[in-house]
Amino acid sequence: MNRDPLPIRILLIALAFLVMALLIGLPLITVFAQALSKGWGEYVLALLDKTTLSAIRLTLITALISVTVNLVFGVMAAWAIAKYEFRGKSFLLTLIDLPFSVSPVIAGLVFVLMFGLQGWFGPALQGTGIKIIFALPGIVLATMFVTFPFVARELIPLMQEQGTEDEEAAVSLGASGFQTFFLVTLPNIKWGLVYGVLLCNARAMGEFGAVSVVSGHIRGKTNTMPLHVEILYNEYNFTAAFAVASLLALLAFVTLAAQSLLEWKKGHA
Amino acid sequence: MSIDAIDITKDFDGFVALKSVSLSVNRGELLALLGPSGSGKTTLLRIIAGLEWPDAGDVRIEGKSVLRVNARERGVGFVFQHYALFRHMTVFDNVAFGLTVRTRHLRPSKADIAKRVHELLELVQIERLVKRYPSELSGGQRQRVALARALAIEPIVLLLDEPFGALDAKVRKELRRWLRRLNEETGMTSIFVTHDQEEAMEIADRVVVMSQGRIEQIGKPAEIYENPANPFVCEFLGSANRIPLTWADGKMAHPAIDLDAITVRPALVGAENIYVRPHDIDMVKDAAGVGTVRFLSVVGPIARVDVEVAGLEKPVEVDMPAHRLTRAGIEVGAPVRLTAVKGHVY
Repeated sequence: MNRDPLPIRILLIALAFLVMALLIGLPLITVFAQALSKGWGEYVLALLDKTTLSAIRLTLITALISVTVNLVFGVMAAWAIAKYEFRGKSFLLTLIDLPFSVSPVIAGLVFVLMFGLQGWFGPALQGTGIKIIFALPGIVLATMFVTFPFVARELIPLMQEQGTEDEEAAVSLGASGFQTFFLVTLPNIKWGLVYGVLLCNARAMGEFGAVSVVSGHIRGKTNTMPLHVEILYNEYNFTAAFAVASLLALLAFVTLAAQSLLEWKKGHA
Repeated sequence: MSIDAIDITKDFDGFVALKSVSLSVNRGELLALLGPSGSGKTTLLRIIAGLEWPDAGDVRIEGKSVLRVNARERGVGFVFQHYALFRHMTVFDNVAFGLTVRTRHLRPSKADIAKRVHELLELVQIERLVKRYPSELSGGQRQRVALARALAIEPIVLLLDEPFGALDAKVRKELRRWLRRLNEETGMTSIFVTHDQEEAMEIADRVVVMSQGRIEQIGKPAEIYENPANPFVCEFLGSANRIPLTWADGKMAHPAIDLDAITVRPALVGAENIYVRPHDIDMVKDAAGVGTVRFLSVVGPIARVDVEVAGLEKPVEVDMPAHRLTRAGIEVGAPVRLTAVKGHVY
């Protein structure tokens, strides 16, 4: 056990709480205080605004697509890395981590350079009439890029630790690949997967930089919630800006609560 | 079912796990693959199970090559060292797994599956644990579940990878006798991997001693114990004192240990060493003896004695009945004379 004198322990714990309160608690309170500064009526009205609702819808669609895709590819990549031995494994790991180390703005720019009007595929795309940049596909691509590591990163250590014996046992008992995955592998990684999806979703909904570059900020069309907050704020429409921001903050709380619940469940599993 | 492994070679990124290994397992036999870690015994077992593929060679079951048959269709029961139980399933679901994953027209009815599971749990003597989860079981119980699960698919052969390695001594003994009985009662061909020579010697019909990807010797336990084919087998099967030899007129000798009782085939005359087991050495207290007792440990019926002998780097290990040790008045520091009654010359 820790032998530090009591006063030091109290001081350190108090300091930790103080810093957290100042750096994280206070801003969060401000968000809600500002959002509700003109009362609940204004708050609800701000949220029911047509462009706000469209921003919420776009954010939900974007998150749904990118989280689903990242879930599937994340599981595949984690499976490959954890269960197979192959050349270039560490390179693949580095690639998976790349979005963490690249500035989101650059992630957005990459897609503009590829699919924008002056980009590599720009002219070809124009011919087909498919819009990627300044449209939903670009926003989804940028979000996917930024959030790719979450699921894979959560699963790789878990799967590595569990090894391949359970799968081998299932196969030797006559299970097909699908049965092995759904009856054995998936239940084994269930909590890690939910955890990864939660984090991935929180980031997907909150992503600003990459999306900002590819979105084009078309009000009511290509504005996600974070972009919408910025626009409202720049228009000095503080109540509305903070109202939308409060939704994002709420998302953070929900994620946090779900995360704690998972930790608790894992501890009791 | 009879199993033949023919010229199996397996290379893991430059580490040669098996070098042209051939092995025939008779129908109904209980065979032990015995060797130190890294000897390739587990790899050989996994290749037979279809969990690993050889770089060269063939695996035949009842004379038919099964290399094109994957583990799923090979119908082999495999028991893992660390059980590999499905942790989110109850004991019942674990044992039933192999039956419930069958395609519909091959799958027994729910009632039949339940009946079969209960029979198997009875066989491994853990019926009362049917609703538990693996995390609520002891190591021995987990391994019983793993055995029942492997037997549920009515495998053509049973393969066990260090099945009792992670268990404590008492449970290990109990389970290995159980395996022996199972083999006798069902007549199912079984192969188990172990690094414990006592385990292999006690229950196997035949023992395959492996080292560095090769088979060193195959034989009945008593055969290989009595006549180890080479120094490796001799030393692996139990402790042995290596005593360097001098030769005169076709007779071997050692300045400190009497070897006159042992005769060697003419072909071996001139060999460098003789290997003598600790219990094949007679020790008497003798003021003129060249050995000195350095250490002795008497726990139970056998006394283990280390005797220092001039000219030998390591002390000579001698085992003798504890009561004889006391009667002979042998204690630490006593001068003793050593006579080897049996030994192996290579």
